Amino acid sequence: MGDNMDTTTSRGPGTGADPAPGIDMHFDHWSSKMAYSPYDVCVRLRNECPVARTDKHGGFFVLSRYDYVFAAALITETFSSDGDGLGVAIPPQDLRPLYPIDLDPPYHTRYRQILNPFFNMRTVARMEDSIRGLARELIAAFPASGVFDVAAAFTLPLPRRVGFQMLSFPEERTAEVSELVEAVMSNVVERQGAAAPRLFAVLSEILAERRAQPRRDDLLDTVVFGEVDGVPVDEKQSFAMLILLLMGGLATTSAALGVMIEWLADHPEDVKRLREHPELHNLAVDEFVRYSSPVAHIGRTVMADTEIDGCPLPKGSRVLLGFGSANRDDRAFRRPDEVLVDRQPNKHVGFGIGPHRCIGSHVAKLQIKVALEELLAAMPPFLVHDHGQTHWVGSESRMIDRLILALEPTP
Amino acid sequence: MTFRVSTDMERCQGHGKCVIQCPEVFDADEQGYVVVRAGEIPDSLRAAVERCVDDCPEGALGVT
Repeated sequence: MGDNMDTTTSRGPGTGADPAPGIDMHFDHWSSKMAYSPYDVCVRLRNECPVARTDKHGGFFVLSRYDYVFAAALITETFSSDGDGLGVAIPPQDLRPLYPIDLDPPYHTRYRQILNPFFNMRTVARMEDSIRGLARELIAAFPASGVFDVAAAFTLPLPRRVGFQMLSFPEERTAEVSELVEAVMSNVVERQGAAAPRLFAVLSEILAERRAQPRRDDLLDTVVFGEVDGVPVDEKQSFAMLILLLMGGLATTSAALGVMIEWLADHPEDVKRLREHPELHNLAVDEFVRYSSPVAHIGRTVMADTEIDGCPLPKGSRVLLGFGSANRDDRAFRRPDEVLVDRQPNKHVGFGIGPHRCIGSHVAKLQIKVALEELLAAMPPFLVHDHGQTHWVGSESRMIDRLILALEPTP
Repeated sequence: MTFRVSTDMERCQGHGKCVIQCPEVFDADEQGYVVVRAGEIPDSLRAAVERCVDDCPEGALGVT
């Protein structure tokens, strides 16, 4: 197949004996299939080969069921994020280790502790007015009627503006940094290619500028001057923390916003319901995170021989935790492929689970909630003008970067 | 009548869903982890708290 996507397994019904499961599988999480339309592949994996093995990228296992993803994310001693220096990316990326995602507790926890105060709920709640102001400004610039790209007009710029405001980045650098971060994230080739050294150069300059300035004790200062166990972070760690904040904070929220708007455009009955029932908005926000699963999967390394579902995972194996697949597992969620705006309980793993829970989850959820409120308040009836033009990028983190809406003129 | 809420701080990772859904009972500390506001909680809040227990992604909450 054109995209190296072959999900045949040795375990289909009627195949009788069960030799090494999935040994003939060529699953590639970096294929455009997994960016555009991953869920038919995920459901096949969950049903037929929940601990799959693929020969791509040096060979790795794929966990696709909710229970297995959940268990592996919590057993950090066996399923390591550090992985003796490999980090969480499959294949390992040049930029590593990224702090703190490529660390295990207790080291991981110490880096989280210096960053957590900037991302806790109360600190984030104080950003609401400013986020609302940015959202209103972007929405006010929408055309009054006709066709436009809501990704360019809203879902891409909002998280960027919020993120760069949190980081107090120099305004003139933000466009370049966004583009480079996206290039580095969008495919495994670019990640190890030309964009990475350019991003390194730009961010190093920004960090050096900040290092020379008087202390402000904001988030960027913590990245530059933070201390872990009384020892100041070094330049490499500063860079690694900063790039991780950028990789984690921009495209992911855009992904959830894009999928939310696409769903609402296709389902005016939910627009009506959410307009009439603002008390459902918090539940809807979590549901859009579950349904969109902006971070589709993250890797681990097996540190000691273990097994899942009777399948041996030898020490040294790489394992992909399928958060996106887990979020669509019908063993864990009723009607998993639909957005149920009042879904509760909703124990999704859209922000990951365990100690590596997305540090920016509260910033993301506040943006999604404010965006939902402001779009419901301001938007005339809207629909997707042309699904054929909807464009997805990414893999590990997958998002819509073009979504053409049509607005009906307000009478 | 009243009841008590138990928290497993080894499990809590600061998702904060309980704080959003039931701020009368749950708060978050500086690091973002759950804090229960009172020891004895009135039964009138039991249904709301039980929803939070069922909804905690980490399974960190319980009712006693």
